[in-house]
Amino acid sequence: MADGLYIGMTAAVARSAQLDAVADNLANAQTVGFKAERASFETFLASNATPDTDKRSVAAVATAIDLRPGAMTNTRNPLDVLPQDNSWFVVKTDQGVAYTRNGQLKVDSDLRLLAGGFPVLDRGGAEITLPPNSPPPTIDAQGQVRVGQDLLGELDRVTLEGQVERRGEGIYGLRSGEAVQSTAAIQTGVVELSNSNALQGAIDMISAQRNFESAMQALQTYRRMDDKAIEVGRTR
Amino acid sequence: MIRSLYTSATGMEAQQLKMDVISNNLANASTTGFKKARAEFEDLLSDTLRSAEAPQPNGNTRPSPLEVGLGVRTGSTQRSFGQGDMINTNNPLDVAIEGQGFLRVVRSNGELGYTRAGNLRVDADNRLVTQAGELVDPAITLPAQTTTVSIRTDGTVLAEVQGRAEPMEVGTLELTMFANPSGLQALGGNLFSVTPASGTALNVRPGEMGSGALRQGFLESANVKAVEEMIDMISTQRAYELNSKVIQTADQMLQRLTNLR
Repeated sequence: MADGLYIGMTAAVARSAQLDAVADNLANAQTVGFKAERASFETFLASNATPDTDKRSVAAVATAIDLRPGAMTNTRNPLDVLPQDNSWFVVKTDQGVAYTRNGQLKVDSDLRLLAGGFPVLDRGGAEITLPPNSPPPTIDAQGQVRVGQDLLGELDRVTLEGQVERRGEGIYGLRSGEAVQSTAAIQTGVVELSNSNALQGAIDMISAQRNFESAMQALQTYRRMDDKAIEVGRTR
Repeated sequence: MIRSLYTSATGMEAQQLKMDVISNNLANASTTGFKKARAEFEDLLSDTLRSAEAPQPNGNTRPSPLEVGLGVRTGSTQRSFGQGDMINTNNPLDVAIEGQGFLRVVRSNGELGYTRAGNLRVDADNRLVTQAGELVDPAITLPAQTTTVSIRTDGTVLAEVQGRAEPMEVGTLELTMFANPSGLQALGGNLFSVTPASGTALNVRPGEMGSGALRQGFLESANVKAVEEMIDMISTQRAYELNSKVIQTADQMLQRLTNLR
């Protein structure tokens, strides 16, 4: 009987982890370049159990990042750029090279070009710095950043082939695999919205809640059965 | 689950800020030379519940971890310096800039300010000033008996004076450009000031290096598009509602949990 209680508990824990993931996806519904995460579940057997005992627990075992592109919106801002073909900009962080789809380029006080708050790198892996006394830069479809006629560098973009991990602030890294340089065209004046889908979020939320409730119902049933067992054993 | 309560709260806060920015944009939809802003968000670092290398209950390891993000935070608000629409006013002292330059003025504290609002006027000393009375830099003084003022696209200001056949050149309006206009600091009153992030001021004649020609008799309206702001407002409201729904759901689940006993 105790087994059932614990199996119900694992289900409830797994579903609350799912709700946490949904909450995060919906909180980032308006974050440019955000990629939604989904919890995945797996059944497991207690370590001393044999497969034929038929008591399986459930656990949220991993979260997968949904790398599909989000919707695009037109901003007409010359420094909003987005590489096509689902490729990524390369940025330099304290933890080394990372990747972002947040192409709302900004300039810091050293006049370095930033993507997602980190210096964006050119084809040669160098930062791009604007000359201080100049008109605003322009970026063409090949990712070439120019001030007037002077070429400052070509924005690097890569496709990620391997396990992508999330590092926060719109920055993603590679856990394994490699980043392959791509020649994808660069669109200017557009940003990619979050790919977290409100409908998917609402459905996941309902399913997490209902599954949680059934686990709770099971727990309650076990509790009542335990109560009955105690009653039977009670001497009058 | 407690985590999702706080995660959704960050989401609601972010949507609130976005709504504030939208309402400011809409409030300034008919402010001359106003440049709309937008709120930019960043996702927060993930909480790793189980790392990729950690053994599973069944003894195996997984290629991917169990990590849950902790919501969103507001990164910054960014101003968009896109061109606004040109409005014909037929007022000879109205100038619109058809490009990326800014008019340079002297603020009341003596420092320089930059503006896109070209609704100029003449003060008591016949000098060209902005609507708020800041002197245009370099200063331009009109002769006392001026009948008509014309401003050429290259910034030359000509005055026709009573009793003279030829119009006389009284000065030149200059424009200033910045490497990163979004880095400018907004001072209110349509004025901006230079910051390290904007780059240093590059003073040019109108029309040079893409600074833009001056159009006399026109004003640049705000670059706020009402439709875009309305769409943003709808999506912001819906995102806010969804986040509050998550809080409700988490609350109901917690309630269910407390009722277990």
